[in-house]
Amino acid sequence: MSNTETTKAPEDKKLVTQKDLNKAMFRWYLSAEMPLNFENMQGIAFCGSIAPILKKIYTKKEDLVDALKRHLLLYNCNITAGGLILGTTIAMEEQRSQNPDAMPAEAITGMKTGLMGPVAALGDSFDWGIIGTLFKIAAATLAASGNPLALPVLLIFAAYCIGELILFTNLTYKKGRSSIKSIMGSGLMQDVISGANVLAMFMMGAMTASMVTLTTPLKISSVNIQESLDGIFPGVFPLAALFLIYWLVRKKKVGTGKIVIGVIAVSIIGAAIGIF
Amino acid sequence: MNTVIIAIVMGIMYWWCRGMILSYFGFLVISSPVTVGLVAGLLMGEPIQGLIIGGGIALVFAGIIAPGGNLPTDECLAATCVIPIAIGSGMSATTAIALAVPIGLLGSFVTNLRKIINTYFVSKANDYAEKGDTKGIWRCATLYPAIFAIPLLFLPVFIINMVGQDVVVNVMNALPEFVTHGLEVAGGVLPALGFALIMNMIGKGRLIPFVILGYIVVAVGGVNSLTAGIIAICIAFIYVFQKREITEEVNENE
Repeated sequence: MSNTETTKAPEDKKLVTQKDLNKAMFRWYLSAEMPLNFENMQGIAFCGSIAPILKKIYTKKEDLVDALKRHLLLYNCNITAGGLILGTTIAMEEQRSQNPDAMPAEAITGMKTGLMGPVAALGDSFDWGIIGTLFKIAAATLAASGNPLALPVLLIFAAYCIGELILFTNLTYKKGRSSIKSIMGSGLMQDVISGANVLAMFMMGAMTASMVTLTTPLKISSVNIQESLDGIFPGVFPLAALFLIYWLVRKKKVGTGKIVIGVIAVSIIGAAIGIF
Repeated sequence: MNTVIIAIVMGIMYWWCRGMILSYFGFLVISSPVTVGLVAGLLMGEPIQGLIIGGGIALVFAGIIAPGGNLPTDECLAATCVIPIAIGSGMSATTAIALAVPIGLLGSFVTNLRKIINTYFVSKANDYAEKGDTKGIWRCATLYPAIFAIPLLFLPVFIINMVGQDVVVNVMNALPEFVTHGLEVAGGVLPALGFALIMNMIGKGRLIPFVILGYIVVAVGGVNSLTAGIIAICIAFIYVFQKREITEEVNENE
C-alpha cells in the first residue's frame, strides 16, 4: 500500500477512541450471527455493534435515529475479513457526524453494500475455504488418531481470525476509506489470492485422494474391475465423484442438500445391487 | 443421572455454536466434532474414544463451509447427537460416521428455521432505532435471539440424548445390511461435496489441472498430506512468480 493514499481531512476531530473501537470489535465478534435472519441477515448485529459509537458522535436525536436505521439495512459479510468494512464504516460515520455535506449517507450505505460481497468472497474463500479447511483437516486427522493436540490446532485458526478482525478494523479506521480499496486492489493481495487459489485447487485434489473412498467389488467373469482400473489410474472413482459433484454444483446449480440426499440414495441403491 | 448431565452439556454446546455466540469461536471451535467428541468422551470417561469418533466425523464434514451463511449440513448437530450414543453403545467409528451424515442434514432445516424466527427481531430493532434506544437494539442482537434459541437448539439435542441410545441401537440393528453399508459408502464419498463446493467458490475453471495434479501426487505418488501441502506451496509460488514475470515483460515491451 502506498502512503500517499492515507489522506485524512486535517480538520477532523477524533471522537472515537481506541476503547470505542475495541468495544465495537468485541460486540461485533460476539454477536455478528446471533440475530442472523432472512430479512437483513447480520444487520441487527452490525447496528448494535456500532450503536454506542453512533450515540457518542451524533448528539442530535434525529441524526442518531437516521444512522441507526441506516445500519439496520441488509448486511451480510465474512465476520473477520469484514473488519475492513467495520473500520471504514466507523471512519465514515465519524466524518459525517462533523460534516454531513462532505459525507452523504448514501456513500456509507453504498460502500457497505458494494464491498460486502467482494470482502465476503475474500474471507470465505481464503480464510475458510483454504486456511480454515487445512486447519480443520489437520485437527480432524490428529483427533482420528486419538491425539488431543487437535484442539489447540483449532484454537490457532480461531486466533488467526480474531487477529484478522483486529488488524483490518484498526487499519481501515485509521487510514480512512481509501485504504480498503488499496488493500483489496493491491498487486500483492492479488498475488496472494491467486497463489492461494492454486494451493487450494491442488489440495482439493490431494485431499480427494486421501479422504474420499469409493471402490467397487464388481467382477466381470472373474476380472476384478477395481484392480484393472487401479492398474490404469489408481483410485479413479473418487476423482470421478469429485468432478461429477463439481459439475452438478457449478453447471447445473444443484443445491447441496439435494446432492447429499442424492449421494446417500445412490450409495444405498448401489450397495443393494452390489456395485459398491 | 450421568445421561442427564451429558444431555445438558451436549444441548448447551449445540445452542452455543448454532446460536452463533462468539461467532467464529462458536462456529469453529465449539461446533467441531473434535471438541464435542473430547467433551463427551471426558464426561463418559473415554476421552480418546470420543476424540477418535469425533475426528472421523470431522473428516467427513471438513470440506463443508458456509458461504454466505448457508449451512448445507450440520456437523455439530451430528456430533452432539451421535457421539455420546456411539460411546455409550460401543459403536464403531465407521458406523458412527454413517449415522452422523443423515443427522447432519437435519441441521440445515434447524438453521433456516432460526433465520425465519430471527426475522421477528428486525422490526423490533427498527422500533428501538426509531426511539434512538441503542441498548434495545443491542438486546435484539444478542439477548433475545439467544433466549429464543433455547427451545429451538438446546431442547432437540437434549431430548435425542435422553432417549436416543435405545432407539438408535434398535434402529441400527433393524436396518438391513445394504442400508448400513450404503451409508458407509456415502460417508466415504461425501467429503468430495465439500471439496467441490470450495472449487466452485474459487470459481476458476482454468485451475482444474491443479486439482488433477494434486490428486495424482497423492493417489499415485503416495505422499502424505504434509508433503502434498509443501509441493502445493511450491507450485503456488512458481505460478505467481511466473505470472508476475510475464506481466513485467509485457509492460517493458509496450
